[in-house]
This record gives sequence, structure tokens and C-alpha cells, in this order.
Amino acid sequence: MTLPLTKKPSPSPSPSPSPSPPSSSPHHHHHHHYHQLHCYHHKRQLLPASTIVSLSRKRRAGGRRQSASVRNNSPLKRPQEARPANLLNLTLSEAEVEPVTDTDTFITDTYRSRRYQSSTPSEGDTREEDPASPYGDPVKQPSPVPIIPAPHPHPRYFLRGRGEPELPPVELKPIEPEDSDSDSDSDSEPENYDDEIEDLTPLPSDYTDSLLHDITSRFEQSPEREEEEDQEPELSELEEEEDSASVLEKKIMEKFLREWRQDAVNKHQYDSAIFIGDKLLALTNDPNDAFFLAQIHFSTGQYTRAQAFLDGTGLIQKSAPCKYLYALSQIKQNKYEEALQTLGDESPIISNPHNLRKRGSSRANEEKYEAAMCYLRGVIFTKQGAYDKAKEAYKMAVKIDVRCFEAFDTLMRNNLLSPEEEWEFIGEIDFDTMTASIGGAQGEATTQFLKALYTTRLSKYRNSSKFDDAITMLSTQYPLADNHDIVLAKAELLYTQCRFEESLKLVKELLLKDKYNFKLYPVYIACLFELGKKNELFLMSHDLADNHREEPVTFVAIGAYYMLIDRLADARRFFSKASVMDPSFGPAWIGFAHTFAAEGEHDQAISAYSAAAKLFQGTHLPQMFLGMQHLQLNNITLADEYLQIAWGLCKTDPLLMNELGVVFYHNDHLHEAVKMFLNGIKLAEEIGGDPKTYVQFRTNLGHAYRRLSRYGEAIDEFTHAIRIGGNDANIRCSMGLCCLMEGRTRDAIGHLHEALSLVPQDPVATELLEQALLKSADEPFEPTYYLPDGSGVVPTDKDFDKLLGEDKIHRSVPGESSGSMQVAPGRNTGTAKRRVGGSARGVRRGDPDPSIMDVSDSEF
Amino acid sequence: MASPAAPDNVKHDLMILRKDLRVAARRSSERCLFHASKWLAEQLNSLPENIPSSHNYLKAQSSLSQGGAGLDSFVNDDEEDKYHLAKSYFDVNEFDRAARVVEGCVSSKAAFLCLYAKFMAGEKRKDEESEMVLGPLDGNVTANKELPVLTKKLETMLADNKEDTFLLYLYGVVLLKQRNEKQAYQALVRSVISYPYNWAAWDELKTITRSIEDVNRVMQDLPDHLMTHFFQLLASQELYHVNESVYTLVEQLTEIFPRSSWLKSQKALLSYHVKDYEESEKIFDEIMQHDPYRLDFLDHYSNILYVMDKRSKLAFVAQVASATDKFRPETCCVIGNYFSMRSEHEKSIMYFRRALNLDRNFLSAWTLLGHEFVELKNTHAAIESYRRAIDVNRKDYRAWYGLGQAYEVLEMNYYALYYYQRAGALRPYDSQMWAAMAACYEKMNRPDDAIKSYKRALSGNAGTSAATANQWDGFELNTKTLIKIAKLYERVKRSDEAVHYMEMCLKAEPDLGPSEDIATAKNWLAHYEKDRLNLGRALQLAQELFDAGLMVEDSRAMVRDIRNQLDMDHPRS
Repeated sequence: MTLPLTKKPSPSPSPSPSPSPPSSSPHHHHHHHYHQLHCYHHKRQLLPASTIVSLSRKRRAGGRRQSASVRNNSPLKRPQEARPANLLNLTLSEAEVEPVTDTDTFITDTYRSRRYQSSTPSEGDTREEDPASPYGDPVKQPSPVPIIPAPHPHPRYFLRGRGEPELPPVELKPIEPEDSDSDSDSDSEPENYDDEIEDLTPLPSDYTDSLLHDITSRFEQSPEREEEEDQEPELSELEEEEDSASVLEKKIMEKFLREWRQDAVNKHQYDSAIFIGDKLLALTNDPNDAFFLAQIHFSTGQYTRAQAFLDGTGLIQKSAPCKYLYALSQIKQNKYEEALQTLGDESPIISNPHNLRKRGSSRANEEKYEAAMCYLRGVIFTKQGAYDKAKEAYKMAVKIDVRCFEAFDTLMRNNLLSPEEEWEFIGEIDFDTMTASIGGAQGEATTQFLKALYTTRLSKYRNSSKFDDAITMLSTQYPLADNHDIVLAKAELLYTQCRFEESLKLVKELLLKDKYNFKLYPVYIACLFELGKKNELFLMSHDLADNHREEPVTFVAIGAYYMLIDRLADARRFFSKASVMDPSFGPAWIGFAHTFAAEGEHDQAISAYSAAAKLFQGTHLPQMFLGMQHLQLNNITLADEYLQIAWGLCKTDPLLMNELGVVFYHNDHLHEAVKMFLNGIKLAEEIGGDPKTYVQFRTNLGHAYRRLSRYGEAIDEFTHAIRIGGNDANIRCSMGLCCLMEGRTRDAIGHLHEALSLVPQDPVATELLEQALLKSADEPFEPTYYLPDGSGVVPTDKDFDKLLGEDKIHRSVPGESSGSMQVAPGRNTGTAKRRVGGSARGVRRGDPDPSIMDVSDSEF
Repeated sequence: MASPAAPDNVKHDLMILRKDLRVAARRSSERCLFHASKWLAEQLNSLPENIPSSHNYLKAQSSLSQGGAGLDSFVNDDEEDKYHLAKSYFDVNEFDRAARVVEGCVSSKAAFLCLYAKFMAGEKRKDEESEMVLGPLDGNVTANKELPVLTKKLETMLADNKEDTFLLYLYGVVLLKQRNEKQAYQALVRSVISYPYNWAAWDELKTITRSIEDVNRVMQDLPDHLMTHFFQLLASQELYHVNESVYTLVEQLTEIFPRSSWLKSQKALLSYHVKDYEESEKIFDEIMQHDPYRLDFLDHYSNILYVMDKRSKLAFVAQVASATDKFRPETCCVIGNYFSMRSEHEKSIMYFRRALNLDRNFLSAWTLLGHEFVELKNTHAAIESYRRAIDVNRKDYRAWYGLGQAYEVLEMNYYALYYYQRAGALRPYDSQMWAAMAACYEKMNRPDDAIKSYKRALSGNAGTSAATANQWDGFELNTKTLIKIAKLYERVKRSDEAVHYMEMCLKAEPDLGPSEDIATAKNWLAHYEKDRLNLGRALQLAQELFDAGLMVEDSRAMVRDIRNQLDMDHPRS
């Protein structure tokens, strides 16, 4: 999942905050090395932001889609959406005018709040909600403008809540009469959601047909439906009481009204639906009709009215759907405490989970509501910041009813579970009851199908073989190979493996089919960022900004673009905006933190990462970034702690292994560091990502070898790093240092020159080069002379003395010449000694002269 | 008369060679390796009607003329069509487009073209991004961004155990760009072994050999083939390694390719390296007559004319070149040299820059540009130019020497010494390099090392015999160097050695006649003898000096002094 995003050491953008240049030569080197690692951190950080984006992205698609289609039905809304941000005030006033008919006590409040909003950075928030409301009455929305992210309602919930999917009852979804009752009344199922989407498209063509069908089916179905409602004993009793001839007439009338009402709802003409519903309720006094009326109120966004209405009916404690709707209305009004009271602190099933399994299918409907209510509890806990409780509530929801996709999606999208937990969880999910409820081989197949679908959503780092199996099954047994969810899962997997080009290709294909599928954008942005495709990112973010200012991902895209072109302040502004719009939008938070990290503002980066870490407990990324920041601050112990937490969450991120290796390195546990780096490389190779990504591994491994005095291996690693694309001055410098230590001064000089040609003023290289040159000047220089046949001879200086007849010198005054002899040979022996020292490092250790040694000593 | 069988054999060999070269030229051309193709076709067309006698080289190669299976075929028609489209794009310099067309193809030609086009696209972009010559973005700072991708692709393709000579060649090129010479060497050697007529690979291989030792080592890995001899010649020439065996090599090859201008140029360059400028000039004149529109190697010719101070001829060559093609780096270099000769250094720099804009890897232009900057006292620019020259070709001793000079100007003696040493390693028999090194040592206050270097400078070409010879067998010695050695010995208080070298200096007198250096030596010796109370010899030397009218004041004083001393001694004795 998210992990991969972080991986790639981005080639161009990382504005490395260079550590303050060290003063002395040993320090230089030390810093140099540190810097290398440091750079790596940077890169790493940049990426992950976008990674997270992809995780959190998925949830949006559903709600968005609906709202998009709905939007077409409510033209009034459109101008507002399309308006650019600077016209916001104007837009708002239009919106104010528009809903006046629906006189509401909230108008003034809303007005005030809107004005308030427009002056705050959270304008996007309202915008996001407005288009999502299918009923086009933004004024009604009581949602307070959350300036501070904390009390913000769960975003996904918001989006989808405005549309139907949260609304449970059968009546709203009559379009598909052939649906079995159990299917039709659980809107939170994934299948259902798919159905909706499919419905929306063909509607125009055979709309009337379907309506007719609908009406007739309603007749046929109504008894069935009542039966279903019978499951709530009180309601059915009420209905059964009447029975006479006039009843029949009344029934026909009721039927007529119900059809009319349904028709109105289908056309999104809620005023008429309310009108008819109200009359119908007066006629029948049927709890179902009362519930339905409440639904309509809810659908129009009049949550207080729905709540008050339900209060009046007294059905809340009797009927699960009513209770659910009641709580939902409260949540919509941000009355979390009250909603929690309505729902109760925990599900009654929790106390006795085994009962659940044993219950007959007659209770299936009840269960669905129980699951939905668990989900609502999760939403409330999230709002209240009780993330652990929220996690449990979501898990419970899925356990009670596999089909509570909302809860499952929330868990996955927000990374509430660690990869291990995820796989454990999928094992715990009770697919069996579904098998049982459908029965037979068909049930088995359906279960497998659902399991595969869910598996594609799990962490990509673990069990990739299972993931592949799931994909294969969905592609071969069902025609879902090209389904966007499946392809997106593949793209995410590729991204996780740092195969950005391939991932990008897939995402682009998807975007061709469905341009504004916001689920796709996080991966898309991340890939573009990784590949440094500025221009494409620019175009894309402009397009999003023109069309979808209400989406936080738009601002993340803009932020990513600015980050790529090194305008960090601007990038931060946009990331911050995105995170205000949707506080649970991971990419925004992490991008925000990255901008600080990139500027070397470690403290601020740390606090931003900490916020992210609190929000996304299931992913190791924030913890890892925290560790990286502390590494940069040289708080090795703290860094180690954070990295260990991250390690606990995910043991399969090669880059995390790299970080841990760096900690070992700094703690002088060099052998462990080498082991860690080697494991990381192995893992990376298994994953099969772009080897370019793993330049840092090779480099760091080289450094570790270097400090272990295994220079040959170190040079091999550095060479490898260069071959896979890491040609930079630091690596060249390190190679130079290794050669120097090995006594290959001339090679060292070559490498250092190379480094300087890459970064002409590199202080470390300059320093080392000077040392190398000094050393080289001390070494004897006796080149090879070539004879005509091509063979070479290496005459020594002595040979030349001989050649020039020095050996024949007549020593006239013995005393004087012996005195002079001391001087000359002294030089010679000195040379010889140096030569020995140069090749055997051990000898050199004690040698006070060469400052190169200081470098390596001080380094540790 | 040779038996009738022999000529037949030769004819047969010749036909095979002709066919092989034809195929090779076509294969290179099909892969858009234009220079290699040009070279091969040139050699093909310089073959004689018949060969005088059975030829060693030919015999060796005919047995090895196989190789290159699968280089010409396509796996299917689709790939062939795609290849032709890609080739046509490549021909009009649309590299990216070409690469995209043949993406994923597996046939030898198409696969190579795809990667090569990518490489070229990267090079083109790199050149564009480098902006101005010697600007901040010029040089290693700007890299070919396709290289890592290419490395990976080539590695996967070559991992399939396909010994495709051209892919191996490209792999070698990519590795060389990353300065990974060890692996590049392996790739290129594999390439030429699998198909010896791949001239492009030979041409790259030569850049790896940095010494004659390297060449000798490489030769052991290489097949005994006609092309290997070409390589050996080229590599030796570039290493300034001129001797009988190299001349034999040229002669042998010329027998097979009597009309080859390339071989003639090599011969001219060999003469140039041993400072036989007249011979070199003669050969170049011949080439120009024979092939008037040929610009290859003309820059070297202009260097020769420059050294020979033949201004008008240089002007003529410049006219010829610019009439042929104004925008060839060779032309620009010739013109640049001309302006340099007229001391119009600004103009000359402009032309060298233009040459580099046309081809940033054009070695002579970098070195010459460095020289011009030195003339203008722009030391830093000179250093940068020389550095770039070395980046292109580490065997260019002029650039190394230039670097040393520049750093000496900057008084960074350690640096200067290192660069002089590099130049000296390339030309150990060149006194100039050693003298420069010795000067550095002197400045670094290391007289002993300076003495050693001066001794080598003194020995010059005799250095090769230093290991074997016991005694100087009496050829000309540079008296200046002798004096310097002697003075340095004096400095380190080893007067015996100092005397030795001063005496050697005196020995040159019969050949050279009186000179300042000899006067210095005599003067010094006179003082020395006088101090050692060897007054007779001292007087004789001083008298000689005085008689020759050298250092008159000093010698007169000394003569008087010694006489006085003798007089004082006499009464006593």
C-alpha cells in the first residue's frame, strides 16, 4: 500500500538541506557521510507523502461518483461548484438566496458560518459538501466549519451520507425489484454500491420501463416487504390489526400513494415526496411510512427535522433502522455524544459474539443494522479522537456483517491496521455466514469472490502471492480484469514495488476511461512525482483546480507540483489546505510535514509527522519519518525508538531496513548494519522494483564496508550504485577515500577529480584531494619506459645514478662524503618507509602525519 | 615465382575479406553507427586489385571470418517494418520517436536501434542542457539521463546469454560514460571477439587502454585477426608509442590496404609523435591531394603546421577546410589554430568553442582551448579546458602538462607535480616533463627529489637503457640541467656529486664550444678547487674563464686571489 510511495529516492527534487559545513577535515568527512544518509532521508520523505495519498484516496470514489451524477440533476448547484475560489463570496450569496423557500432556522447560522468559512482556509470544506449534496440545499447543512481538523466529521461518511448508500430501507431502492430483500436493504454492501453506479448510467434509456416495472414489482413485493418488516414485531402487529372490506380500498389508495412517493423519490423531487409521504403516513399511520418520511427528510439534508420527526414517532428504540437513521442524523449535526448515547457504547452482540453465528437468517436484517451501527460508533470514536476504540468498532462491524464495506474500506483506506493485523483480520472475518445464507456451491463461490475482492484491498507488502491469486481469480472467473478497482490495486502494487513507470501506465489507462475518479489520483500524483514529470503534474493539477476545488486531492496535487519545483513554502500552503479540508487525508499531512523536513525545520516536521502518526496508526510511515528526522538531528536513540515502532508495524519495507541499518551504523554496530543493508537489498530484489531505487542501499552498504576497512567490497558497492544511476559526488568521494585508505593514491585522485567535476566546489572532495595529492607527492614516481618491442622496463632512480656515472665518483675526502652520505640516503630510506606504510594500513595507524587518518577516526 | 596455388589462395582470402568488410559496413550502417560504417567502407575501398603475396594477417583472419549469425534476420515481418520506420526517424535525428517505434522488438537490428536511439536522445538532451561550453552546466554536472535505464535494459537483454556484438558494444559505451572501465572493458572485448568487424567497439576499446602495458594485456585477450592489428596500431599511436614494431604494423596493413587514407594519417601521426614534422607534413599533403574533401585528422595537420611555423600553409589548409565544411569541428580547429598563430587569441577561442559546440568530445579543441586561455592568462579557464580534455582522453599528455603549468602559475605545487607526473608517465622519455617535475620539487623544497627528476630529464630517451647500461656512452647532455643538478647537490652538501656533474658539464665543451653554462661550471669548480686548496687546478680554470672572456670580473678577481695565495704559500714551502 502506502509503503511503496515513499521508496523511491526521487531523482531531481529533493532539496537536500545541507548540514552545516564542518570546519576540520575529519569532520568534513564525517559530515559528508552523514549527509549521504541524510539526503536519502530526504528523498524518502518526499515520496511517502504521496504514498499515503493513495491509501486514503480510495474511499472517495464512491461518494464522488454519486454526487457527480446527482449534480446533473440539480443544475442550481453547478455554478457554485464551478466557481473559482476567489469568487467564493459571490457563490455563497447565491447559495443563500436559493434555499430561502425552505425556510429554516439555520439560515442565519449557516450564513454566518459560511461567511466565516470564506475567510478561513477551509473554504474547500464547504465546497466539498455542497456538490455532494444531491438535494441541492447547502444552506441546510449545519456542519460547522471546522477550522481545526480535529472535530471534523468523517469525510467519507459525509460524502456518502449525502447520497443514499447510508440509507438502509428497501423503499428507497425500488429500482431493482428483482433484488432479494436481503440485498436491497443493506446499502452498505459493496455490491449494492456497484449496482447504484450501474443504474445511473442506463437510466435515461429505459427509465420509464424501469419505473413501470418498479411499480408493478412494488405491488408484488409489498407483502414480502411487510414480512420483512415483520421481523420487527411491534411494527407488524400494528399493521395486522386492520382487516375489513374498506381496508382493501384503503390498500389500493396506499399503494397508489406509495408508488407516487417512490416515483418522486426516484426523480429526486423531494418536496412532492414529503408531501405524499406525509399524507400517506396520515392515512396509514404505518411505522414504515413514518420511517420513510424520516428518510426523505434526511435525504434532503434536513437532519434536525429527520431527528425531530423520529423523536415524535417513538420508534427509535423499537426499530433498528429508525435507531440507525436517528443516530446518523445526530452525527450529521456533529452531535457525537448524543449519537453515541442513542447507539449505546458498544454493540449488544459484543457481549456474546457467539450468539451471532447461531442466530437464524431471520435475524440477518437486524445484523446488518447492528453492523451499520457499529460502523457509526467507529465514526463517532474517530471524531472524538478515540482511534483505538474506533478501530475496534470498525472491525466489529465487519465481523458482524461481511458486507459492511464502509467499515472495511475505512479500515483499509486509513491504514488503521498494520499489515499483519490486516491479514489476521481478513482471516477473522466471518465469510461463512454469508456462505450459509446463500447456501450451496453458489454461496461458496460468492464467498470466494468477496474474499478476493477484499484481499485486493489489503496491504501490498505482505502475502503478495495471495494478492496475485485474488487478482487472478477475479480476472479469470469474473470479467473484472479491467475493472478499475482491480487495475488500481495492481497499479498500487507496482507502486509499492517502486515500478513507477508501469504503475503510471496502468493509472493513465484508467484515467482515460474515467477522468475524475479521485481514487486514482493519489497513485497518479505519487507516480508523477517520483518520475519527476513536472509538466504532466502541472497540467493535471491545473485541470483539477479548474474543475474540482472541493477535493483535497486537488490541493495535494498542487502541493506536490510545488514541491517538485522546489517551492516549498507554496507546497506547504497547499498541503495545509488539503489537510484542513479533510483532516484524515494522509497524503496532505505527510506532504505538509515533508515541506518542513525539506527545509531542515526538523522540529516542525516532527510535530507534523507526529500528528500524522496519531491519525494513521496502521502504517509505519509516519513513525519512520519521525525516526528519520531524529536521525538527522543526531538523536540516534530516539530515532531508533521510532524506527523500532515502525519495524513492529512493518517488517517488509526495504527502506525501513535501510534506516535501521543507518542507526546500527551510527551506533557502531557495523556488522549488524551490513546485515541489515544486505537483507534490504535482497528484499528489494525479490520485490523486483527499479534497481535505481536502491542506490541508497548500495551506497550505505559501501559506507559500512568502508568503516569495517573492507575497502575492496566497499568500492564494489559504490561502483554498483553508480551503475544503477547514483553517480554523485558523495559516492565518488567515498570511493576516493577507500582508495586512499588502501594506498591506491592515484586511483583516489581519479575518483576525487570525478567528484569535483560533478560538484566543482565540493568541500570534502577538495579537502581529500589535497591530502591525496600531498601523499602522492611523497610517493616515488618511477614510470615505465617502453622498449621498441613493446615490453616495459621500470628503471629506478639508482639506475639513473649509475647511468650518469655517480657510482664512479671519486670520494676525495672520506670524512666529508660520509657526512653527506647521511643526508642523501636518509631521503631514500624515508621513501622506502613511506611506501611500506602506504600499502599496510596497520602501520599507518600510528603515523601522526597523514590527516586522512584523522578523518576516519573522528568519524566514529 | 610462387607456385600457382599461392596466388589463388591470396585471391580467395581477398575475396573473403572484401565480402566480410562489405557485410560489416552494412551492418554498422543499418544500426546507425555511421562512423564505424564510414571507416569500414573506406577500408573496403582501399583494397588493392590483388595482393603481392600471401599475407600473414589475411591468413589469420580468413579462418576467423565467421561470426555474427543472427545479426541480420528479423523474427517477423512486423518487426522488419517497424525497424525501417525507426531507422528513417533516426536518420532525420528523431531519436525518441525512433526508439518508441521499435520498443519491445527482439530482432538484433531493431532491439539495438531502440536502445541506441534512446542513448542518442539522452546525449542530445544532455548537450542541450549543457548550454554554453564551459558554462556552469557544462561537463559532468549534466548527465545523460537515459544511462541507468539503458544499463538495466542491456543487462536484462545480455543476461539471456545473447552474445550480440552490437548490444555488447552499447553496453560498453554506457559503462564507459559512467566511468566503469573494468566492466566496459569486458563488454567490449566480448563484443569484438564475437564479431571482430565491429569497428565501433574497437574504437571504444582503445579509449580504455591507458598504457602500452594495457595494450599488451588486451592483446592477449583478443583474437588473432586483421582487425586486432588495426586496433593495436591505433592504440599504440594514441599512446605515442613509436618504434620499429609499430612501423612494421603500419607497413603490413598498408600492403593489404594500400589506398587507405586512414592508415596514412596514422603514419603521419606517428611521425608527428617523434617530431619528424617534415615527414608528417608530406604524408598529409599526399592525403589532401588524394582525397581533397577529407577533413578527418586535419586538425592534427594544422597542429603540425603550427609547430613548424608555416603560417601561409596553415592559412591554405584553413581555406580548404572551411570551403569544404565550415561546421565540422576539424575545420573549426584548423581555423582556431590559424588565428592562434596570428596571436588573435580571442578569435581563436571563438573557433575552438564552436568546435566544441559541434562535438563536446572533440579532444583537440579542448586542449587547444586550454592553450589559448593560458596565452590570455586566464588560468582557471585553462584548467577547466584541460580537465575536460582529460575527461575525453586521458592519454593526452599535452593537457596533463598544461594542467601542471596552470597550477604552477597558481603556485599549487602539489597539484602541478601530480599533473606533470601524469604527463611524465605517458612520455617518460620526454625531458620537458621531468624538468617541470624537478622545478616543482625545487619549489616544494625537496632538493633530493628534484635531483632525481633532473637526472631523468637529462637522460631523456636514454632512459630505456638506464636499466641495462652501466655508463653514459657519451651523447649530448643538457648543460643547463647538469648545472642544476650540481647546484642542488651543493645545496644538500654532497659536494662530490656536485663536482661530478660540474665536470660532466665541462666535458660537453668540446662539442658545444664555450657557453654560459660551461662558464658557470668552470667558475664553480674553480672556487671549489680553491677551497680545497687545489690551487693549481683552480688557477687553470679561472684562467680559462678569463681567457675566454667569460665572467671577466669574477675570474680576474679569482685569478688574482689564487696567485696571491700561491705566492704566500710559496715562500713558506
